[in-house]
Amino acid sequence: MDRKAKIVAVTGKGGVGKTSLAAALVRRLTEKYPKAKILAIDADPAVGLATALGAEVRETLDDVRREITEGVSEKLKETQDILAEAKFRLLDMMDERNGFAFLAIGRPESSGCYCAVNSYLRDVISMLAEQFDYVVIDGEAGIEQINRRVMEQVSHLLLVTDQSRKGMQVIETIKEVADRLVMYEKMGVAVNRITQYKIELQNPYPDAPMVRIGNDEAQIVNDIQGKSVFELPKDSELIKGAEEILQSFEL
Amino acid sequence: MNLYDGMIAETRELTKKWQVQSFPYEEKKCWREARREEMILQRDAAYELGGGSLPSVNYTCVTSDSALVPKNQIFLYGPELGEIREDTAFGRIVFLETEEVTGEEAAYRFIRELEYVKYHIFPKGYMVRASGKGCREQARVSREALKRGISFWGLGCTYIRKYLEQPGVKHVQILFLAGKESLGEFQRIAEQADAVTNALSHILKGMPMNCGSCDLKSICDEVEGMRKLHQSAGILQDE
Repeated sequence: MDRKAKIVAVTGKGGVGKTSLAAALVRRLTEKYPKAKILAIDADPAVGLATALGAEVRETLDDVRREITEGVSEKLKETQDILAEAKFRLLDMMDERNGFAFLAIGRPESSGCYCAVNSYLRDVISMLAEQFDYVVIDGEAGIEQINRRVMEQVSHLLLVTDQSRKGMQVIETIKEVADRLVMYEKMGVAVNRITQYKIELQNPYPDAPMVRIGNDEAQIVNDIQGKSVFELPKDSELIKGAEEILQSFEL
Repeated sequence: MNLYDGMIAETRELTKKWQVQSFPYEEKKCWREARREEMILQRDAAYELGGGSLPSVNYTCVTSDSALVPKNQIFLYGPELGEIREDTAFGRIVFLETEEVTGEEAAYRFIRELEYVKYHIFPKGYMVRASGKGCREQARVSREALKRGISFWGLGCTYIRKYLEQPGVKHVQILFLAGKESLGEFQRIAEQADAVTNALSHILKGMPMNCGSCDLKSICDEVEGMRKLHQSAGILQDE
């Protein structure tokens, strides 16, 4: 029977804790579904998700892109060979640990003029994503940065913000873009790092679930010590928040 | 088509030094295929054939000489999949007897299509990845597939069945090399086979070829039939 990958895109303004939350989602998925195939994609050039997950970045997609581009002019002439080579190299760059696989995108596509190669890589990442049960993508800021073809497959869109008005405005903009580009099935909002409880938080999308996550001291300590989310206590705000998000998404 | 005949002969000669198990092609022996590519993560894999820095080789040789590939058969040089315990060196070589194909363009497309068959076979529990650039093929074998009895015999039958579905293919032989310390000689043949196929594409580009200055001269010198093909294309100038 054909199964469809559940692809969760985590997006929002910089500095709201997207990456930690994406990592926490990956951790909870690995704990809930130890036999599932889970892929974490770091679409942020700074590759912060790798640190948050304790994954190793051997190479990024950008490295593979450059290598294949050189090969195209030498030995790789036919589409099928280029696709196979891209797949071969993507599997090389994939790090596997703690029940998940990890891919780093590196610099965005616009950084080089490799249109054809980019197109092949998009195909391969898209095909690769389909071979997993769950894919969590940590986006840079907005979804437009992320591989378009993968984003077209997104099933769950998570808009992350803090309590600031600016954070809320950013997720509204992201949602507008997403509505044009992505055929997501479910959307949810996570308000992260809550420190102020006097003002009631309004859900900008009453039909969508909104998860509130308190400021997590344990995560701050973890960050300072460069530890992964797998070292956080189970009852930390972040891990509990991640679980709540998965439940609201019925994942 | 005799461009690869020397490579078939040389491969046979090189494998003579090893013990061989040979298996007939039987359709009922075919290992089952997945409907699409399957991701086998390292945690689910028993081992990887040709993985990492281990030697790995893959090439395809096409001939119209029925004496070179007289019947469908699988040859295994090394242990069966169920006997392998860790990552090991790996080679998969394909010999195809086909109908005679005339004309460079038709020959090039015909051979390329046959080479691409490998990208469309998805044996269950056996994740293949191939690098055309390095003439390599690697395969992760899942623990589940081993439990269910996957074997080179079954895999070979699956490959043969797929090749026989291609128009013009008469007989297929699959050679599996497992656990060999060095595959350097086979890698050299793989590169030669690749060079010959690419040379056909080179001819298609209609490049004026003077043997004295042509960068394919070394291939023509080595590969019987290549020069004849150039000449028949009518674009070879006398030295």
